[in-house]
Amino acid sequence: MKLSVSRRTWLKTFAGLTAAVPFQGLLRDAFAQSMPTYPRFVVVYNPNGCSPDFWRPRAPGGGPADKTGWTLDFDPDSSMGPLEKHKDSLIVIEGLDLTCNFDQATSYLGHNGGAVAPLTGLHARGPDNADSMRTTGPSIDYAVAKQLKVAPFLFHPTGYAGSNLHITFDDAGERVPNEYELRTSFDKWFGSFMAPSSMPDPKALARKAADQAVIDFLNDDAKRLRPRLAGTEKLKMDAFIDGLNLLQQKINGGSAPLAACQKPMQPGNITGTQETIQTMLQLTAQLLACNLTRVANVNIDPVNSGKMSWLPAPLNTLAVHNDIAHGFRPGDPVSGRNLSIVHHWYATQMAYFIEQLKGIAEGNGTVYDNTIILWTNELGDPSQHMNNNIPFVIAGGGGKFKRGQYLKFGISASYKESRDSNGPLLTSIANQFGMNTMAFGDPRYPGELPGLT
Amino acid sequence: MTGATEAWAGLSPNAPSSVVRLLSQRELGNAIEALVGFQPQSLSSLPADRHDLVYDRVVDAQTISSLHEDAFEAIADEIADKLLSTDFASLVPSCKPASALGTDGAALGTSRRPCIQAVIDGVAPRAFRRALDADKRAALLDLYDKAQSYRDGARQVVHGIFRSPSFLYLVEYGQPITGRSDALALTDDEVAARLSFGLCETLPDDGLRAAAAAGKLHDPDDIAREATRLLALPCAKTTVQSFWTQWFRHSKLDGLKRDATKYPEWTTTLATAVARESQQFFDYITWDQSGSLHDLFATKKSVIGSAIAPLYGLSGLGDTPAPVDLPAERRGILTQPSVLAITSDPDASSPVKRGVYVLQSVLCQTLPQRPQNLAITTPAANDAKTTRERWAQHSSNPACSFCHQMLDPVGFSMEDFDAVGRHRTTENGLPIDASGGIPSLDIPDHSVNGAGQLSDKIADLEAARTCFSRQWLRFALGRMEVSADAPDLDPIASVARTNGSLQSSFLSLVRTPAFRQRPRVTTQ
Repeated sequence: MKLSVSRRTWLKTFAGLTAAVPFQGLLRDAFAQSMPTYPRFVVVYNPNGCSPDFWRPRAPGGGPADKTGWTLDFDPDSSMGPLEKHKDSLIVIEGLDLTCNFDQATSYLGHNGGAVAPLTGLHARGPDNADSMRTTGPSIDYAVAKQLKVAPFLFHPTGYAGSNLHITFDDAGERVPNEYELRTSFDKWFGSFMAPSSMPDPKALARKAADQAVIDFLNDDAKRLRPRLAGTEKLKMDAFIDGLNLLQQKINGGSAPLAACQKPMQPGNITGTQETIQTMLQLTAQLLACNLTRVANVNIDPVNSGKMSWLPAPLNTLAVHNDIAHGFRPGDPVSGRNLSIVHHWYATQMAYFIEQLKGIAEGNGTVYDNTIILWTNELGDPSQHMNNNIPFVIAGGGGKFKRGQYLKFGISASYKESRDSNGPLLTSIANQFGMNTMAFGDPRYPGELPGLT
Repeated sequence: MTGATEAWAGLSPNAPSSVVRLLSQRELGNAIEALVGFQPQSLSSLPADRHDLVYDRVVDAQTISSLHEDAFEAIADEIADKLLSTDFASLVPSCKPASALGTDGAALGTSRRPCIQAVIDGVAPRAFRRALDADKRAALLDLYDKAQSYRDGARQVVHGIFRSPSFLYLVEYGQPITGRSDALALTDDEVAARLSFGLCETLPDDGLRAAAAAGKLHDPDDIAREATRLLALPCAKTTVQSFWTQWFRHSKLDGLKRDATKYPEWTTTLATAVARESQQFFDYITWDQSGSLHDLFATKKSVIGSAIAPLYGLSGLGDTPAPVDLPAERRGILTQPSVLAITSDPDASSPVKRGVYVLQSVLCQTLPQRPQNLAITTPAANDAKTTRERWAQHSSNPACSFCHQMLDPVGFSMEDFDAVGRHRTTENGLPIDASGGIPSLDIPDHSVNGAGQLSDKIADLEAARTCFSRQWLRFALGRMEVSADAPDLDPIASVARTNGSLQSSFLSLVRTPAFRQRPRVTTQ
């Protein structure tokens, strides 16, 4: 396992020396800190592609942006305008394609098949009569959660109606179900949660021991059963055991909550509104602060691609997918602006999330400094509904990525060509979490993404 | 099997998948109810069953995740609460305490141990559908003993049983068959579980357990006798109902929306009544009439009440749906508003959806893959044309026509019904043309006129019989059908070929080797 000592640890060590902290304590601290310290990982997802001319950064005076020194709020409706004040911590990545989809004989593309590849780097496979897609390996959020030994928080605010766009897949390539009701999620994650005090609650400890005993029994039971099974049957039992292991991590609570951990208020029953998304993002931020998980994947589309009633007329009467995304025509300023106004709203939610994380102190900084956020989509230009030029954005801190960059890769001129795969982006992220992999997803696209570190 | 080979061409050449499948939500609820007398509310916290392969219990479509494990935990907790509320007396009468139980702790744990032992011996073998191994029994008791407390220990035992993979999964080990390397014979206990989950979606009842204990569940006649007994029970009626509604995809009626301007009469209440018509129709054909597959598609009756009578243009019917003669243009399941509505768009009928539905779902035809990179746009609404005209123009595009030559004649022949299942002769003031056919199955285009005639043709198609057989095997065995299943599928289709009853078709599967054996998977 690769050990990494963060720059902050060294600063702390030197600060400690000059402040004459007792040597023994310092050594223990340095030892603890020299264990690999991985950031948290959050995927933020919205569907339906983007309006590239309004989305890509521009030079301050207009015109094409350089790698650095660009601006996002060049127009009141620019897609990422709300993120201008956070741009120093962003990496805007243009021109990556879901290349694994392009030389395939199947038609699992567009939204449904397309939604498989952004996080898996793998092409979809689907059975006959498929209601939903599957593939052959895990998505990056699932793999990172497994690596960090935490149960991920996966939330899709429009529930099963939108389940075609769940984008998390397990090791067998099966789509992982998401939570979809805020109150239920609150009860599940925070219902019995109490930030530990210096006086451990004997009842809670007994409960924890009991939970552990049951899990041990179930693990043994599954393992008793497993040798009598063969081949694919064993995989079924392995998935069961994986699920148990995640429960076990939750019982043990992972790391201690940060001082800033606050049990949020129980949310009301809200769906389909702007408030749904903000409440979901608050919940996510507190789950991270309380160390109840270190990995999340949240969908910021509250209307399942339907009408966003709060947008300015006439957009408030149009369905985001059927009317606005389908109506988009490259080079047409009116339809381009319409789609950008929708994207601008997504970016507002993204900015809200960033501000939530920046508001939670951790060490000398904030949770935001120690979280890698990947903002993704299944489409690029939606006029062709094809999976190229996906608008990827990385935000946050942690890891070794160089922030404040605009990385431009080969722009595929039409749906018939694909140039640069999203695979290396996933590989780069995997390796920030100590996975030391040559290729995450499809091995035909190996290596890390140039320019990220 | 002469002549049958051709009928089963096109099945997957793969080895059949073996069955270690998770119980569906419905099965899990029934099984818990059979054991403890109630269905926990937390069952609803389980992620929805996947219907990728149409049914809620097909092993190849199932997944498990930490959300499932969370739900299993909540379910077990609820069961433990309920059982503890009577100190297990509801389960084992001798557990009833003679006097109020004192403070919990090691002493109470010891005094209540015999009760917990009785619970384990009574519940676990039924829950696991096989004799309880000595080491597993010891491990459950060990859970109790280590807790050193009655209530905590008992709770852990309940969790141990109800979260065990032996309870949650249908597991079949089988035993060697002399001279066979490709298959294993199911044990009598395993056949009991197959029969019971297959036909009743629950744990084996006393009769099945007695038959298994007596070693009377490996001979085809014995198995068929038990199956016949089960088919007469209400649970089998519910299960067969679930088979029909899943095969015909009626869950799509839940929350189905219609354009309020064009179809103001479409409400949730109407959608429910429409779904109920088909459910009662399935019962009527399967049980009341002992009808055949031919009847399912071609009967001139349905079960209609006043709620949906207007969709049929009928009046004077009672509120309670009852069997009535259909208007001349209707026949069987495919002309019911349920099917016609779920195969339509919100504002218009959809010939393409109807074509796909009939060919793929009803007749098990494999449709060609959509050409890669084909940008698909649906024809815009147009009040000056019929739906057929809008789509005909669209499908004349050469890139699309390959597939649409197959699909469109099927959907066009159902154009005499609108998006809520009303019969029509005009659309937008223009006359309806409902001529069509099923060219890919030798029913030439323009040879039928209207969905009623189409249904008559389908009722006589061999593809309808083989598809029904495949669907029933998939549902009853919980796995995908493969080419090696042909000899076991054919008896089901044979019943349909001679217009035998649907009940006989269902029964014919349990007599086949496929039902009492499992494939032997090469150990890795």
